[in-house]
Amino acid sequence: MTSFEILIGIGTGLLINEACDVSPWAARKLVRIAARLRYTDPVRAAVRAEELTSVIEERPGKLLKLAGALAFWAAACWVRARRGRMSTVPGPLHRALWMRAARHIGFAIATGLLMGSWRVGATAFVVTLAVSWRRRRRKSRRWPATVLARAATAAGPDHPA
Amino acid sequence: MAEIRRITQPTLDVIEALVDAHRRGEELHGWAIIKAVGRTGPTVYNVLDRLEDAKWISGRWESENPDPSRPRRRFYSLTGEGARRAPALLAERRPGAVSARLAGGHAFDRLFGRHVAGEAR
Repeated sequence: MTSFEILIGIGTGLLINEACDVSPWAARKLVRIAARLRYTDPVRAAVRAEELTSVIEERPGKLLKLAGALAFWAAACWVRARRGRMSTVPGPLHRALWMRAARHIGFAIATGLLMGSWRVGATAFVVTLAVSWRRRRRKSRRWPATVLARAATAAGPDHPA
Repeated sequence: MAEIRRITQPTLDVIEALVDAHRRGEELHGWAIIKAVGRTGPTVYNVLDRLEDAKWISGRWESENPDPSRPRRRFYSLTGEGARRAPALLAERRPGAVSARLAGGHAFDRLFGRHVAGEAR
């Protein structure tokens, strides 16, 4: 056995020992993060953060504490992801974006089928996308005028001085 | 009157543990409930959230943990509405569990619950 291998063995042992000692601290941090992820109400999140810390402390074993905290964290991530998905799907902006994407893809597929070449279809897709993007950029350049017009309307004669 | 959104098997397990504790005049903290029902922590806390939202249970912090090195715990007990409606729900969904508990008490229930439930029917 070389000295390098001995050093590796000692280092690995020290690392594992350190990881075991650190795991209760990591578990406490993790359940606090989990509570913040899981609950939208800040009061409830604070209550649960303290409560889950005590639950984790009651668990026997250092690594079991970490495993329990990971379970809370994974469940919180799942709830958070589901909440995010539910809140974005019915939005009109997303629906409009999906409709626009579907229009571009549909047009590209139809062109490709008509011309009998997927390359033409792909080119049509890129061209329509570029034209649409350019049109939107032109519209977005008009925003100072829109803001000024809205400000003028707000400060108009109907508006109390 | 507040309703529980979904009544699942873990919900019934937690309600059963809380009803048991209520009959003995005790309160249960989170870890005790997890141990009593044999479910994972996140599952039990999902149920506790639902029961709290429905105002069937209320929580209270202990002043300090008997072990000074540990953080204080939160104890749960049935509210008036919970104490009135939880046994009715258990009787409806788990008639065996309720009749066993009435026949023999908590310890006997844990040991011979299935046998007594069978006799009670």
